[in-house]
Amino acid sequence: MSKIWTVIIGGMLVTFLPRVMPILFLSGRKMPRLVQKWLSLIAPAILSALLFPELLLNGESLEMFYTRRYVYAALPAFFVAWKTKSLFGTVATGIASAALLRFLF
Amino acid sequence: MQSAFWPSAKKGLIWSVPVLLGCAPIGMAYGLLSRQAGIGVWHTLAMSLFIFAGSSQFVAVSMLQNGMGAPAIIGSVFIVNFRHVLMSASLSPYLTPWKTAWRVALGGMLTDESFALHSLHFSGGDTDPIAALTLNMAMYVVWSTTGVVGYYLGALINRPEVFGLDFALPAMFIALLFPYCVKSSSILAALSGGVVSVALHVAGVGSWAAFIGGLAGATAGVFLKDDMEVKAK
Repeated sequence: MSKIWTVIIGGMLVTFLPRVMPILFLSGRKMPRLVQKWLSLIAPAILSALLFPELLLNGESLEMFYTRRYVYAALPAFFVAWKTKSLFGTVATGIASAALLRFLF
Repeated sequence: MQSAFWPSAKKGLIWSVPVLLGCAPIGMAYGLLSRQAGIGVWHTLAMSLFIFAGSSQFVAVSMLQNGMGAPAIIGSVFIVNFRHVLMSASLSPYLTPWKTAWRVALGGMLTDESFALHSLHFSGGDTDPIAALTLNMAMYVVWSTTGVVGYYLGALINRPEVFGLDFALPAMFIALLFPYCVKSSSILAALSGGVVSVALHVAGVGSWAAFIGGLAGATAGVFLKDDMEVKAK
């Protein structure tokens, strides 16, 4: 098998198993309340673990983070999300602010 | 819970719109990068169809370009995508009534974006499998096709930032974080997850950042009692 197919098939296995195993084996299991609460906190924790670096980092550096376009595009998006709780409204606001900032600076 | 096929599928498609806006330009960028790395179009497509994980595919393509060996590449793909173990685990309590095949389909096509939406819908009481799987499928189809489109046309339309589309996914994460910010435990989980993740990136171990950030955030929040709940408006 060529190297690239080894990568594709190997890559499939190592991405598929971690995605499927927990759903397959944890669903329907009775869990202590503390574990249930912990599982329910993964969503906010991991969402901001993905979001914060995206907003703040230049490459892998925090230096001059306040010059990032994303930091300022995020402010109106935060405001709309807080006021309206609308997914579409927030995404549209974010896209428009990012485009506007790009156009202006 | 079980509902008619078309109305559910339509609901899933509507849910998928903000995700697709964000993921289409990334799919195109992936296709272009793959072409520049000298990878054939069929391999580019196969990678999207079989691996279906944006950040992992970017890593794989650049490692292939640098002539790294298959074991090293597969290892990196594993690490970069390992955060999905947490996402899958956190969705599992809602899926007890689902058929096994549907659970495999939902998990097998899990992405950061679809996880964020599923998590919101499931915790809000909507566990409609048709809608959830339609959302997954829509993303799968768009990710795979935009990879090929980007392969051929990426050089022509390689400026998604002009339209602000590069900010579609961060904006979506912002919107999806807010519903959690009504409980002090979730707020603490979000803040600690974000800070830990940034710190790990700065420390040079960015590929573990989302996984460890998620782990640390949930663990920080779990011991906080929610009796002093911030009142939602």
